[in-house]
Amino acid sequence: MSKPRISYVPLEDMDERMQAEMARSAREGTPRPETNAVRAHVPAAFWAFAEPWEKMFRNGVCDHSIKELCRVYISRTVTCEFCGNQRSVKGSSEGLVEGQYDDLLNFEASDRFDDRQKAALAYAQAIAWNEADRDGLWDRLHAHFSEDELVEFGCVIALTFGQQSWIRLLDVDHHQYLAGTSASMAPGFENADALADSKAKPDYWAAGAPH
Amino acid sequence: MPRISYVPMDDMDDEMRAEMERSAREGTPRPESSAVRAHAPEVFKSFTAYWDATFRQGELDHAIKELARMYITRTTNCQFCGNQRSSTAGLPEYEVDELLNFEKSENYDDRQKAALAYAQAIAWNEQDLDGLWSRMHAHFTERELVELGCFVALTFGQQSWIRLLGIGHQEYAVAGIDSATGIAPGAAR
Repeated sequence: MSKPRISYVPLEDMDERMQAEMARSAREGTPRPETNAVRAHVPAAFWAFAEPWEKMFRNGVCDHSIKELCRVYISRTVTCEFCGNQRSVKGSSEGLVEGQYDDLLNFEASDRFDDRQKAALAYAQAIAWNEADRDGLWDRLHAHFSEDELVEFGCVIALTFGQQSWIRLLDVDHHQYLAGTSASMAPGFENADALADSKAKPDYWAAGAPH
Repeated sequence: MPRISYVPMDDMDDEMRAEMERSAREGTPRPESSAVRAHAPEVFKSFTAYWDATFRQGELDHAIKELARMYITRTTNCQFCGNQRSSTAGLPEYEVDELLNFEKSENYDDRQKAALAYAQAIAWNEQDLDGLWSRMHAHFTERELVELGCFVALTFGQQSWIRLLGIGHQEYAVAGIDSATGIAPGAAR
C-alpha cells in the first residue's frame, strides 16, 4: 500500500463537525475520505473545499450530471487516479453510464454525448488547456447554457481542476482511511484487492502515471 | 467586452456589495472577476471565503503565496490576474522570465524556489515525486503544505477560467471608490 505524501489526520483529532463530514464521505463518496483527511491539517482549507463542493457540485442551478461528466473529464486529462476512480452516485442516477467515460478525451468525435454535453466538455477542455477560438467557444456555450450556469459550472470545473492537479501529487489512494465502504467507487475498484487488480491491468486508464 | 456579463451592484445583496467595495479599495482580486462570479451568489461567497482563508489569512506567510500566485499568472497567461499585485506582500517586480525560470534565478532563496516548484508541479505535474516531496518537507510543515497546495489549486483553477472571460481592469465601477489599488505598475488607465 502506498503512503500519502502528506499524512492523514486521525479522526480523533478532528472536531465533531469535521468527523460528520468524514462519515458522509465514507457513506456517500465524491470525495471519498482520504483527500479530506489530508485537507484536515488545516480546518479552514477543509471547509473551504467541502462547503463550495456541496453547494456548487452536488447542488446548484446547473444539473449535477453535466458537472460530474466534466469532473471525470478533468480526472482523465490531468491523470488524477484518485478522482478518476470515483463516480458520483447522483450522476449515475441522472443517466450517466460507465461506457461514456472511456470516450471523454475524444468527446468531439464520440456519439455517446449529446450537443449540450459536448459543449460542457469543450468548456472543461478550454479551462484545462486554453482555447484560441474564443468566439467559437463562447457562441457554443451561450447556445446551451445561461450565464448563471456558465459561472457555476465554470467555477466547479476550476475548483476540481485545481484540486485534482494537487491531489495527483499526494499519492493518496482508496480504502486507506475509514475503509470498508465502496460508496461512489468506479466498477472494479470497490475494495483494496479489486483496486490493485484493476490497476495492474495493461489497459488501466492511468497506466504509467508517476508515483 | 466580457464573455459573461458583469452583474450590476444594484442586483447584489449587502454582503456581496461590501466585498465589491473591499475589492475596489484593496484589490487581489480587483472587482471585475467578482462581478462575473456574482451571477451565482453561492459561487461568489464561496470563492471569497476560500480566498480569504488560504491567501490573505492562514499560517503561511502571505508573500510566499503571492509569489506562487504570480508564477501561476505567468504559466497560465492570465493577464487579468498577472496585472495585479498584492499590496501587502512587499515583493519586488519580477521579470516574466525570472518567474518561469525560477530554478536558475538568483532572485529567490531556497524556500521561495521550493514553493515555486510546488506551484509548477501542481500546474504541470512532476515525474520525480520523491525529489519534490523531500524538498517540500525540508522547507514547510504539513499544515503549510496543505494551505499552500490548496491555495495554488484555487488560483490555478480560477486563473485558467478567468483567462477565457476577456475581462480587463477598470471596466467595472464601484460607486464612490476611484482606486487603482492592486494594479501592476504601468497597467492602470
